[in-house]
Amino acid sequence: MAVKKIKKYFRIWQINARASLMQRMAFRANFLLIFVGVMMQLVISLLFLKIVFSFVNNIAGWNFSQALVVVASYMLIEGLNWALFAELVGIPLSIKQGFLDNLITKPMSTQFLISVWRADPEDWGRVITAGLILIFIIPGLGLGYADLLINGVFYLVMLLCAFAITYSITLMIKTLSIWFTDSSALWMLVNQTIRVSQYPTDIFFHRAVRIIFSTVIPLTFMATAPAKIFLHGFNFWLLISALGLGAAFLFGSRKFWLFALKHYSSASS
Amino acid sequence: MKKYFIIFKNSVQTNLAYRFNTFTSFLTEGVFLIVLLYLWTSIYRQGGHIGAYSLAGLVMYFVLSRFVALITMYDDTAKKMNEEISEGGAINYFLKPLNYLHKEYAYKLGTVAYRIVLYSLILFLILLVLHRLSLSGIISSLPELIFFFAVLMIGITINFLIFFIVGLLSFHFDRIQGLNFTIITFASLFSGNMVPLDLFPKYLFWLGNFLPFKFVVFIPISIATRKISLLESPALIVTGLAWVAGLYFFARGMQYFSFKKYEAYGG
Repeated sequence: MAVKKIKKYFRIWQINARASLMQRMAFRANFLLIFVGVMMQLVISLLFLKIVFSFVNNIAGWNFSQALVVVASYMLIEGLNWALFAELVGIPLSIKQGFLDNLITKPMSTQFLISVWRADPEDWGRVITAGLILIFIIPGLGLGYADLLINGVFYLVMLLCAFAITYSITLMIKTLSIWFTDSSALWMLVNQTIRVSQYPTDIFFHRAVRIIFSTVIPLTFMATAPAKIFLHGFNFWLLISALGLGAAFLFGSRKFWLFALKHYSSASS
Repeated sequence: MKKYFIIFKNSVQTNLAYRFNTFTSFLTEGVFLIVLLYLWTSIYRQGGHIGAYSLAGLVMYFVLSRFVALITMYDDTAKKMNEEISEGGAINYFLKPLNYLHKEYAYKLGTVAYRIVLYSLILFLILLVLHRLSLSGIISSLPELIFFFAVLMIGITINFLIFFIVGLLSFHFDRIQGLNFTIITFASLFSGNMVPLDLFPKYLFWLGNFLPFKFVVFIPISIATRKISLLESPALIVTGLAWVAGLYFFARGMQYFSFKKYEAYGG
């Protein structure tokens, strides 16, 4: 029964992703230019790092290759968030344009439908680039095959938790649109904060700030902690904290979404 | 002139209507500043030095770049025009005694005026927090301030004209988001908003010198931090005005041909 349900949800995600791709490909030059823009953003991030490391050997104990693992991890999470869910733009849009009413009546999870409503295919470019960066820097990291395999598995688990945390934060902020209609300014603030995770969070040398960024807004677990596991191997506390936070954020955001839906009053007539 | 002043006033009022956005702007800038301080302090703690910049100099550069970029760069002119043109709203401007370019510029200046007041307040608060940093390198005399604001206006106009031209492409293509996004990213890089241009690798610095984007962030900051002196002002202003004139005449010409091509349909 559960497998059948998963298959059904996967099929719907596939259909939506294909529709998004077709929409984009209907204007090929536009799609190509968006892709170029996405790639340029990545080049800027890397250029920034390259320039800084042309003057210093390390930042808060991270050398160039290690810092690249953090940047690549951030790119993976950001890329997946766009490529799979388009940062949940469907929530504020569906409320403004009134088609959330339509989604609520479907015999499926409204949260799922609204999440996969739009996907931005050009952002797979971020995911692929991040993967290529990792492949290029692995030889310079001094990891043996066995280390690479074990660390790689735990790294993927950490990335999954990071993705769950990022998705949950995005969901909670976008859900506020049910009350405020336009939560874009608040989203800008949160997005700006999440962007900080592309730098190793060890730059926050004050303990209190590090604690805030490990618990309240768990930036540490979005890119720095996965990178640490990839570079230095299994760390029980990091892994258990990431799993706990990922589960807590997913649970909390789900409850918040359901609570918000109860307060939803249609914008259309 | 009066009709454009009304558009200017409307733009200020529209910006004032979104007070929640204003409040979150304060918080966003606060987060940005905290991260900036930690990042650069971490780098300089290792004993490193970035180019000719001291820690105070670099923090000041990024604080000012944020201030200048928020005023000059963040621009939705092309997006707004694309919506207007693709939804048929542009037809209104053919019927009114308004020049589309001048009308958009008046609207842009309204946003700029609002942002200058708002972000000057934020900048003042930030400089108060950072009072321990050396502020002696910042311009303070009247001629320097006039020079700074003159170049800032040139930067605002250059940025506006570039995105106005992108917006005009909506008359010729269904979708311009891709081009708009790419140019925003390109401008962000070559304006010096992300990294000071003088820290760029030589070939990129050389390329950036041939583009107008440096007038949008890097040159105003170089004036504010006295890297460019008053003696250099005539040459700079002439170069900036040449860019403005070139882009203006190109935009006027393109507007003329775009209007000729326009076909509206609807009931």
